[in-house]
Amino acid sequence: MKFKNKFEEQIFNIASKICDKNVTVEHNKNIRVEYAIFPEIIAFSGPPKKEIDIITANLLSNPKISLLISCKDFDGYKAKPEHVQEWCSVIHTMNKYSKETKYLGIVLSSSGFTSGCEPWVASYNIGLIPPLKGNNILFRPETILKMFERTLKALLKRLQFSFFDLFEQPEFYDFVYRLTSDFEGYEGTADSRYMIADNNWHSSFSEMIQIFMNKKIIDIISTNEMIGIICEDNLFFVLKKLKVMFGSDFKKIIGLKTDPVCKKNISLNNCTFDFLKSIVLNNKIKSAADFGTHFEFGLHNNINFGFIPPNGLHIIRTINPISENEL
Amino acid sequence: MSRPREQIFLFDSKGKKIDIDKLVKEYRTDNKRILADDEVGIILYVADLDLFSYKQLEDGNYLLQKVNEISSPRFPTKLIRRQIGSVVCTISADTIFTIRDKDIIKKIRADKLKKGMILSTGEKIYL
Repeated sequence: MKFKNKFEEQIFNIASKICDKNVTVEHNKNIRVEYAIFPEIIAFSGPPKKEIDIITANLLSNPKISLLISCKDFDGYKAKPEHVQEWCSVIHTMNKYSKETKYLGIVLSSSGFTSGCEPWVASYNIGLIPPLKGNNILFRPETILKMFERTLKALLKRLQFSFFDLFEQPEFYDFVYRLTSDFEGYEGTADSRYMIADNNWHSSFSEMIQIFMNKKIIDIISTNEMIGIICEDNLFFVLKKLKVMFGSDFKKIIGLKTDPVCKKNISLNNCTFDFLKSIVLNNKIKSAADFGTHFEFGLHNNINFGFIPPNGLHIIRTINPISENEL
Repeated sequence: MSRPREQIFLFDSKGKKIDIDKLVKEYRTDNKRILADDEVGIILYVADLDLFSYKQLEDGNYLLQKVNEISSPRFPTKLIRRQIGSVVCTISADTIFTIRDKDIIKKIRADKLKKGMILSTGEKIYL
């Protein structure tokens, strides 16, 4: 199978994975309307036809619904209105003179679209990936592929419900927009230091604290590669250099077991690991603070429990006056 | 773990307020209804449940809009506060409004709303 470019091949592979064998790719294909006896389309060259490069995903067989996908890869340049107008007229004409098949259309561009494309695709009810969001956000190529995968999976599920509204403009355009617009927030997490171990998803401080709030600490993890805690409900939290990883996939905890360097109070007095455990274990997490280089949990017993990578632990009592409440 | 995009109030066809968190929790295991559940967030199909979101208008009346899907992103865009007409609301920066610009209407993101703009519904932006 030949592809015009890598982007088209990636889109085809995703569509094939989701729709199995119901996906085809064709280049310089002459597509013709199904119902060609209307007077307004009589012409010297016959009924309307168009030579296009197309990926077709047949989504439903009864009634027959096909998704016509156009991939634009302009080597860093954004697709312009004329590029989407072509697809608008193809989908419009195919639907207008269709016998039984209903067509939906999506245009993808590896480097995005100019803002003038939006009114055209919205008025012709065509999906646009990546979405236009009214700002200058540039989505990474891998994010655009994720958008397409998410949209196609959701569309297949959506077609299990009543779907005729999707063919009313701008419903399908809006449907694709709703599925892809949330990638704006996601795009900013690419270099996040938080990660969920179970599925390697990027995460955030707020998501982590929602999970760990009020969880009891039942053990402390200390290896030559990471330091952290095990909480009730099979949860762990570790710091590995500047990365924070949490979740319930304990296979991600690596390294040789070592004793951590334990400190107490503001004056950083040495203490034993057993002493630190006696203060920390079986207490619930009540707050957290991320200082970039180190991390702290606030515990139920007025203790701040800090992690200093690679293997430092620090506890301090937070009752004032601090000098009279040292550990 | 995800959070609603913005402060949405949902009502059923009888006007009873619906708790979005409870709704998402109730249907979380309904695989057919969950259109997407991934690292970006959750999209829940609700068009057949006859749910409506409401929007307060300048004259004090409410506009009910049918909701087809509820989006609950894991990484919502930043929240901002704007006074639109007589209502001060907290909205995500990428919420779309339509404004009047001479004889046309245009879409605009919430974070690009400016003082003095007039929405297509007639409400004025104050801050």
